[in-house]
Amino acid sequence: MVGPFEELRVIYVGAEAVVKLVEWRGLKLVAKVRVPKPYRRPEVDQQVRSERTIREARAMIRAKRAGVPCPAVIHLELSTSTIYMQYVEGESLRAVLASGAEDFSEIANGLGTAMALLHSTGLYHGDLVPANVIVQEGMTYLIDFGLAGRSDDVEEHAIDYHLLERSLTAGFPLIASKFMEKVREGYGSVLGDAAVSGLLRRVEEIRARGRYVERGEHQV
Amino acid sequence: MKEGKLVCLGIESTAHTLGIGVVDSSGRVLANELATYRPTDSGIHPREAAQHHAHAAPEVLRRALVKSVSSADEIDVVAFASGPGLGPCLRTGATLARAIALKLGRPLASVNHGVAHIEIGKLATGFRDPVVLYVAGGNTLVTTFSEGRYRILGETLDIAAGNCLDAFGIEAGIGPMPAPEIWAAKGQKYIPMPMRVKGMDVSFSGALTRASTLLREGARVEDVALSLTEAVYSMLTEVLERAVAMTGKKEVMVVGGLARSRRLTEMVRDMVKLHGAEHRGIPDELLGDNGAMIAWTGLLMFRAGQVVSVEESHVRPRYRIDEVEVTWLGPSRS
Repeated sequence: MVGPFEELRVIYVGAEAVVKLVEWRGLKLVAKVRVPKPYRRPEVDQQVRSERTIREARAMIRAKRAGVPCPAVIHLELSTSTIYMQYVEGESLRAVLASGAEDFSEIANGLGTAMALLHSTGLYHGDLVPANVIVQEGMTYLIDFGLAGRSDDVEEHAIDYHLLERSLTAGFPLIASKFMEKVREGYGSVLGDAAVSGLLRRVEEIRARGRYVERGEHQV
Repeated sequence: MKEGKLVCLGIESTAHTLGIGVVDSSGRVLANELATYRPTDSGIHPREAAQHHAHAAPEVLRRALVKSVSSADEIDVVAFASGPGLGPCLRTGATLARAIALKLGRPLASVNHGVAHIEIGKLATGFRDPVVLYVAGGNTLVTTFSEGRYRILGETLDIAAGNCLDAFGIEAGIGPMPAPEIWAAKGQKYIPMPMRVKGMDVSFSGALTRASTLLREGARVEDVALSLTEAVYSMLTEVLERAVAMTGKKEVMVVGGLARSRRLTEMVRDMVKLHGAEHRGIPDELLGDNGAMIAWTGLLMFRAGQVVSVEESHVRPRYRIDEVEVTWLGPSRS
């Protein structure tokens, strides 16, 4: 028996999961529970929730092993689609930027470094937005690996970059480009400048797709 | 002047549909006429579609004018969809718009097709600052207004949702939408589909490939249709939900041809309840590509002084909605 987990408070209610602070044998942990979605067919819902719970735990363990700052997985409960993990105290990057922080160089650089470490081990995050980065005393932790996966394909890594940049541009248009410049620096410090330019080339390609592209005769 | 009301004629010709609509500044749709190109085989041939539009234009224009005004002189502005869309089709609509504008001596408004879907949706729902899912044959994105533009929160990384379902229907021999949804209603079994959601972005090519494989392996068309539509709509509703959760906005609408889907509408309605948000439907004739939406958006642009000269009235096949400077709205109210 692992339990009991004592619920202390709800940290965050997301679109997909409820994140709670719990206590287990005197230790503070985070429980991430994927909630059923009434709009999905039960079979689809079951598929989505269990696939993502397993994938998330697996990705976190691999990321941790590669030295990516992220919470450690403590326990998995598949019957309720729950992951118990280390509690990382701090503020989300979104909150930090929203509060008007001007000195974000170190944070952005650290985020680029974390991203590069993640990619270097063949993982992608899949939802790399400011709300999924925790800043703790200048350190940047990646959280929410719910859409993460394994791939050495630069495509997936480029999507991480693309998502981050787009969500910064949407949420913080005035600082986005400066922030991303520092992210690239951090990324390059781990994987080298060639990796950065390779990544950016693919980002451009991705942006050129996914639109109303004129495809000659077969636009259905 | 007609009691101070402005009248705009709008021309839509980005893809299959040639639409000509007339709208006045009180938001009344005076005419919304269209002619749709139906390809003989599976795909759309841009040049054939453009020829169809050129052919149909005089009649559609005549019907639109007869329904809306007593004389063409009553038109104050001429708007056209400058993109995104198929080059030859766009050029046909633009040429017509320029000719009318020159003949009447009226200004031209160059309208982004996606923005027009959103603006007519806002007119129909009465929403002021919604989160929008725009789903059609050629477009799939989640957007909302922020800092002077409609920002793209999420979009498809490969094919559009409508394209995915159309391609499946054609391959299965049942025809494009709404056939896949009709067949899905007779499905009995959900077969797991790859569901690729990344942040607020989606990818449908994996699900389409899986559906094709299942068909080849002899699975029942009804079951594959059920599985594919459920997977695609679940992904769309999920990214829309993420956008609602992220923005905290309480108004939700779905625009574009695929918004006609009953099942998708049902899912979105179930979703918004979870967030205390509200979904409002839009009449079918304003959901698909139409001229009224171009006219209404052109009118909003004209009132904000956003007009172009004939020389500047280029078409832009890859015109993204976030390239448009939205001068006709105030700052975001979120």
